[in-house]
Order: sequence, then C-alpha cells, then structure tokens
Amino acid sequence: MTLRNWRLRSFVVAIMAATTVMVVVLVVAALLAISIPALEDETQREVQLQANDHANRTQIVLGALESRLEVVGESHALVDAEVFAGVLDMIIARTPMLRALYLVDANGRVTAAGLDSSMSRLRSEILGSDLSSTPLLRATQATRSTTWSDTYLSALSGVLTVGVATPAGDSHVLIGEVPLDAVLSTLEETGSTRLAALWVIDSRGEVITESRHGPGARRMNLNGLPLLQASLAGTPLPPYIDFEGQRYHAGLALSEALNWRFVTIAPTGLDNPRVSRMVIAIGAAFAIALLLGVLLSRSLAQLLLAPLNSIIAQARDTAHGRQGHWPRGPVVELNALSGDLEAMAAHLQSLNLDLEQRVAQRTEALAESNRSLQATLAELERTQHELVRAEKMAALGGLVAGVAHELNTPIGNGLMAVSTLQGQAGDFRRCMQAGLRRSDLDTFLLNVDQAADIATRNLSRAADLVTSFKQVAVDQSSAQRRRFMLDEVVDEIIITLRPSIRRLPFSIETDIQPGLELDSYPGPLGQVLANLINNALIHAFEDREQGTIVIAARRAEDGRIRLTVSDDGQGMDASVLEQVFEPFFTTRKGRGGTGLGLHIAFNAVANVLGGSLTASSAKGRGSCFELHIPAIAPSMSETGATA
Amino acid sequence: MSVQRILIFLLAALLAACGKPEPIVIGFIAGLSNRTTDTGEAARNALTLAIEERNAAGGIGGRPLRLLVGDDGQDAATAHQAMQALIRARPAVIVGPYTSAMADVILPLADAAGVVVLSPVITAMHFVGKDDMLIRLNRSTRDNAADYARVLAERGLHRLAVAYDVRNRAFSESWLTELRSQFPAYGGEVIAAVEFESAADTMFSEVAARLLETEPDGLLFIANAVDVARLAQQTRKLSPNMPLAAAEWAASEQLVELGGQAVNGLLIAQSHDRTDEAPRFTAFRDAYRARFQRDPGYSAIASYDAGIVLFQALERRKSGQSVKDAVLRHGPYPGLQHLIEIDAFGDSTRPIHFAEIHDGQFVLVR
Repeated sequence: MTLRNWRLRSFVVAIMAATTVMVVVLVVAALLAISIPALEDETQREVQLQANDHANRTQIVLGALESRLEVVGESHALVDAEVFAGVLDMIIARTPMLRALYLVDANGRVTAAGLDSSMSRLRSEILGSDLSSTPLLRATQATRSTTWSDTYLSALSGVLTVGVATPAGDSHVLIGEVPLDAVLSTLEETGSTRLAALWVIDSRGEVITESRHGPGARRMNLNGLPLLQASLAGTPLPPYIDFEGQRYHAGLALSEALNWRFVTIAPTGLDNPRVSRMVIAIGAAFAIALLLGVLLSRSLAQLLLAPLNSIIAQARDTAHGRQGHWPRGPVVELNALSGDLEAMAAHLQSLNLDLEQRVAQRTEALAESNRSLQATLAELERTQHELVRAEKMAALGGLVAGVAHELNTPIGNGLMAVSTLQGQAGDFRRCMQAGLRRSDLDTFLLNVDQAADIATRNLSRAADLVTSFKQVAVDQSSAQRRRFMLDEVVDEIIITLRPSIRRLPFSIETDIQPGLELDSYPGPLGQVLANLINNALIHAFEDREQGTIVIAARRAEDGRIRLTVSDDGQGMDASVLEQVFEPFFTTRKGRGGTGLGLHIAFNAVANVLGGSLTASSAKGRGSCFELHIPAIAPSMSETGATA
Repeated sequence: MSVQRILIFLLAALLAACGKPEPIVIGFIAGLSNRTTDTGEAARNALTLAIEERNAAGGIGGRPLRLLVGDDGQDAATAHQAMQALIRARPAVIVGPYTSAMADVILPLADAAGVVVLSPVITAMHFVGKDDMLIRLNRSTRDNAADYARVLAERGLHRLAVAYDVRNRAFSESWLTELRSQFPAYGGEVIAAVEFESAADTMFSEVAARLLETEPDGLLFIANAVDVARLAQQTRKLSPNMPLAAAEWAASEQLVELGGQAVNGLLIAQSHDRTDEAPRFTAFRDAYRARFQRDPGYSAIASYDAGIVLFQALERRKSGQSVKDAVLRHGPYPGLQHLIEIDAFGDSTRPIHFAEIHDGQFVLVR
C-alpha cells in the first residue's frame, strides 16, 4: 500500500475534522439512543390517553344526544301523535347530528318521522315502513334501553349510517339516524390537533369513521387486527399494530355505552413526527457542529501553519540563494526550528564559499598541469619525429658504411692491380734501360693485360655498386614514384644489406615471382624490407648459430602483391605480437633498440604503399611479416601523410 | 478477516434483516359506500377471511397475501379512480367487481394493465364468451332468467310486472331481456317493465304504484337488496298480498333486515345452498360468523370461492406463466359447495337454489 502525499494544511484540517466528526457522531448516537426510546414511550402513553379522550368526549357528546332523545321518547306518551310528529321535526331541525328520527310501534312500523329537508319528500314512503327486522330495533325492544348500532345500511335513506334507539313509552321505540360524517365532525369539534390518527370501529370491526389524517382503514374490517382481537377477548392490548406493512403505536378505548372502539394510532420510528423532528434537530445540530468544526479547524490550522509556512518560505528563499529574515512566532518549537535552520544556512553558506575557493584553486592547478602536459606532449612528438629521422639517418649511415665497405674491395683490387702495373712498368723501364728483351716485353704486356683486366673488372664492379647504391640512396631519400621490377629492387636491397650480413651465420633467400612490375615507391618499400630484415637479424636470430630469412612475393588473387618476409627464428609470443607495431615498443630496451623500426615500416606500408602489414608468429616457430600492397600505389594525397 | 469480508457480512446481515418476503397483493373492488354495500361488504369479509386463513397457513410459496380494498361507489368516476389505485399496487389479481355496470368501467382498465379480474358474481350476457381479462365464477343472466321463468310460471305467476334498476343497466337489462325471451316458453309474459334509478330520493311508492296498476299476477324486482326492500315496503302498503320476486342480486342478508315483514313470501334465487350442513361449509359459515357477527351471503360464498380459485391457481402457477393462464389451466377448483370449472373464455357456472323469505329466514323451495 502506498501512502498518498498530504499537504500539511489538509492533513491538519482532516485530523481536526475527523476528531470533530467522531465526537459529534458519538454524542449524536448517545443522544438518539437515549431520547428515541423515551419519545416512543411517551408517544405510546399519549396515544392511549388520546384513545381514552376520544372515547370520553364522543360519549359525552353522543350522551347528550341520547339524553335529548330519551326526553323526547318519554314525552311520547304525554302528547298526541300530530304534536309528537311536529316535535320530531323540530328536534331534527335543531340537532344537526341527526338526519332522521323514526317513531316505531311495537310491530316495527314507522308511525312518525322527523326528517331533514333532503329527506322530507320521502315521508310518505317512510311512514308505514317495516323496521322490525333491523338489529337495532330488535336489540332496543329486547333491552328496553338506549342502544347504539353498528354501521348499517339505512333502509330508508339507503346510506351507511349509525343509529341510536331509545324506548318511547311502553311499546314504541324512537330511532335516530346519525350520518357517519356527523360522528367524524363530533370528534373533530371535540379534539384539538392530534398526534394520533383515529379509527372508530363498531362491534363487527367495521370502521364507523376515521380521522382525515393517518392511514385510511375505511372499507376494511379491522376485527382481524391483534389489537381488536385482544380487546374482544379482554386480554392485555399490544402496544403496536402492523397495518399495511407499517408499524404504529396503538391505543384502544372501548365505549361501553356505544359499544364502539376508539383506536388511535401514531407512526413509530422515523415516521413518528416527534422522532423525526428530534432526528432532524439533532441532524441539524450535527451538521452545524460539523460545519463549525471544519471551518474552525481550517482557521486553527491556518494559525498553526502561518509561522511554519513562513519558515518554509524562508527556507525555500535560502535554498534559491535569496537572503531574508528567518521568522519568529509564538510557538517555541517553531522558533527553535527557525533558529536552527538559520544557523544551518549560515554554516552552509560559509562552507559554500570555502568550497568555491578550493574549486578555483584546483581548477587553476589543473589548467597548469594541462598546459605542462600539452608542452610535454608537443616535446614528445617532436622527439618522436627526431627519433624517426635519426633512425632514417642511422639507416642511411649504415647504408653508406655498407657501400663504403663494398666499394673498398674492388677499388682496392683495382688500386692493387694499377700499383702492380705501375711497379712492373718501372721494372720494364729498367729492363729497357738494361736491354729489352722480347721476353721481357711479352711478360710486361701479359702483366699489363692482366692488371688492366683486374682493374677494369674491379672498377666496373665498383661502378655497378655505385650505380646501385646511388639508386637506393635516391629512392630512399627522395621517395620517388616509379615503375620497377620487384625482384630487382629486392636484390638491390639485399646487396646494400649484404655487408652487414656477410659476417653473420645467417642467409637471405629470395623467392620472387618473376615479372612482378609495380608502379609504386621503391624507397619506402626498400626501407620496409630493410627494417623487416634487420628486425629478423636482431631479434629472430638472437643468440643463434644459423638462420634463414626468406623473402617471397606472389601476385595474389585480388591482383595485389603479397610479399612475405619470414624467418625460422625464435618467434614471438602473443603479448609481443600484439604490440609489435606500437611505436617505442622494444624487447631490447637499453641494448640499442629504439622501438621505432617496425612502427616506421607499418606506417610506410599503410600510408605510402597503400597496403597493409601484418605479422604472424608463434614462440619457437619463427615469424612471418606479410605485406599486402597494390601493384599500383595510390597517390600520396590519397594515402595521407608520410611516415 | 479482511475489511471487504466484514462489509459483505454486514451487507448480508442487513439484507437478511430486510428479507421479509414481499407480499402478494390481492386487489378487491366492490361498492362499499352506497346501496350495494351489503354485497360488497360480505364479499370483502369473505375474501378477508380467506386471506387471513391462507396467511395463517403460510401464504403462497412463503409469501403472505395482502388484501387491498377499493370502493367503486357504484359510480364510474369513483370506480375508475379506485381501479387505477389498485393497478398501481401491481396486484396479482383483482377480485370484483360485483355489478355489471362497474365491470363495464373496470374491464378496459384491467385489459390495458393485463391484470386478471376475477368476478365472483356478475352474470350479464355482455361478459359471457369473451377472451378477456375477466374470469367469472357465476352463471349467466340467461341461465338465471330461464330458471326464474320456469319457477315463476310453475307458481302461476304468468303476468309479471318488472321494476329494474338502470344504474346497473348492464345487468338489469340483460336480465330482463333474457326473461322476456324465455318466459313465453313457460306461458308467461312481462306485462310491464318500469325502470328506476337506485338513489336515496327515488320515490319507490310511485314505482310500486305503476307496477300495480297493470294488475299483474306478481312483481319482479331486478335491483339490489336495499331497493328491493324499499320496493317491497311500498308495494305492501298498496297491495299487502301481491306475490313478489326479486332477481338473485338482492339475495343478501340485509334484504331480510331491511325488508322486515314486507319481504315475507318474496321469491328469490340464491347461488348457494343455505341448508348445506357439509362440514366444509359449516366450518366456513362458523368462522365467518365468529369473525363478522353475521351470516355469509351469496356474495360472501362466491368471494370465498374466488379465494379458493386464485390461491390454487397462484400456487400451481409455473414460472413465466401468466396469472390468467394459470387460472384457466389449474382447475377444476374445489368451491365451497360445487366444483368450479372454468372454460377457455374464463366463464363458469354454479347451481342455483330458489328460496322464499319467511319470518326473516331464507327457506328453500322445491
């Protein structure tokens, strides 16, 4: 689980708000837990009281009606029939609760009727009608006391009604019809604003009337409800009824006189207006407390955060290098934090300055050593060039020494032949002075011929040598490009090297494919060969009694020339082979090796001849250097700088 | 236990707490605030009893039944309103109405809503043999009128004056038409037919006088119990011994209470046998008496039969089967006094019993 990042302000507000909510929720829950049951109990008591109240009030009002009818009934025997009929009409006119009054004789016949205006035209029909089978009349005749009916269909008006019957005289009965609406208006007149809804229920469970608010039960038969069952059975009443899927507090009062039941019901739980008002009030208080809590927590958080924010702002300024005043506020810890940060910032600043100085110093020192290194490098490069030139000069010097040595013999021989001839010419002159003999002349001529012959041969030999040397010297010093036969150049090189080899126990063999003509630079080629041969002489045959160097050349398949210089010497190991063309790499450091010979050769092959020089060798198996060069060398501009 | 599992547990507990099975709503519509309250109330009581008994036995498929009562007031606008309120409650079936006039108002609404209307009593020919949402548990006015024609003729009443209530014209005219067509076969004749409106201010004495002035052998009233009682009262004033008869509509317990001596000797047909002593019937009658302090009338018995039909149909209804189809297919139904067989048009029949009223009692004749 990853924690999301909170802003401190939100965090503080959230914590404060959460605390507020928790406290308020606990208080609200406690309040509700205590008050709701109390309210419900109160409602229950009140509902029962209201039922009793309704029953009592209705009984009083209807009792007054009863009394009036009883007085009228008793007067029946005292007045004659017509007067009595007038009395009935007067009573109806003055008693809005009554719709009709019937005087019924012992046979159940209506003998007189008091009717309200809506029914007066039915008088003739009503008089003489037979009510003997109506339950109300039967009950009154049986008990000879005032009786109230259940709801019934009035035979005369054909509407649902309740009736009250009272004995009139010894045999007659006075029946009054009270419309159901009149019962309701009675209740509404007597009752104030009520919490509970009211059902007035007759003995059969039919609803006589009901209050306009509350669940309608009219048209239902309610005797099936456990409350009414309990009432009918005389067992304790349940405090609740479940009606049409809802639960209600219920109170029931029985009016003995009317034989009606007054059932008051009030919704339970949140449907109880008291409970809902309480819940709304507490909910509102909860909302206000919550709102205040959240608002206050924002301000309080602001109070706490303002100094902290200024410290943070100052820290940010300091971090960006801006100067400023480290704030102080009312909170000790924050002041301490501010002070510590200030000290830390100051310390960091001084450290920073120090560091900058040191960096400047180091940078200067580095620049100095860099300059020095560059100078050294330039010096080294110059030295390298000088060394290369010196090497070349040394090679030339060797060449000159070789040439001088080579020329020495023929010229010496020629000189000896000529000086011998000079001596014999003196002897001949002396013979001529002493007498010349034929034989002397012949001998002299023979000697002259011999001497001339020797001198001629030796001098021409010397001339040849000089020509050769001259060619080599010109080639090597001028790096001229020309067409040449490879075998000739190789031979010339070997000739120039022979003086150095002659005294050594090593031989050089050539195996050059005839007719290989090159258009290239014989000087650098010769230099390369000389270096490779010298390298073999110095390194391959070190401490050896014999050795052979083979120079071979073939035209390769790609038209290039493959020229190898191989020896049967001691070979090189891999680490040496790897570095053999590196400048200044030598295995004879301090013993005269410059470490430049092979490097020069490599550069010459790559840069001048336009080819490649590779070496292969194994310890004890000799070495082979292989040139792979084009028959027509690239022009100098293509190959780049010379070595 | 993870938070999720706790939440699921709490949710499950909550659902279990709310998991009372949804009640099956049974609609009921009848006149409960006017001159037909006698039959309406008896019918409602019987259906209330049937539902209370069924709920005590565990309802249908574990679901309790809830009765929703509507009052048609025998008035088209009131009936329309009551019916719409019932349909809004999505009832499985509506029991009612109890007069043909109201059936004319209610049926189009029921057809539109696709709610089965199970009428225990209506008989008018207008509703017979139609494939609609109406299912009738009674015979037709044709059957009844034919039986009446026969019985009246047998009693020597050949010249008959008829008063009929045009507030329930669908029924009363159908009844009268059938009587007129059947009566001649038995040598009878309707010599006068006086229409009247069932209302508080109707002068029944005038109606009675008009009937009597034709000098008939007897009078026949096609009206509800209240009106028959009043007609009888007015007739007796003018002609104490005139033979009286009334169509079966008036055969409620209130006829006797309201009619008093005036209905003595009145001939009326009933759709049940009051003398039946079969334990099933007497158990019902005793339970009804205990609960409502009255005897069950014909509409009570027919409505209890309606309860029997719809409980069996709903119980045997397969998932996806319409209530109408279930009622038509899952018969026959063991009614209180006869086996109820419903044909493809939702029509049915039942026996008829003629009675005379003597001293406040219905006494079976023939």
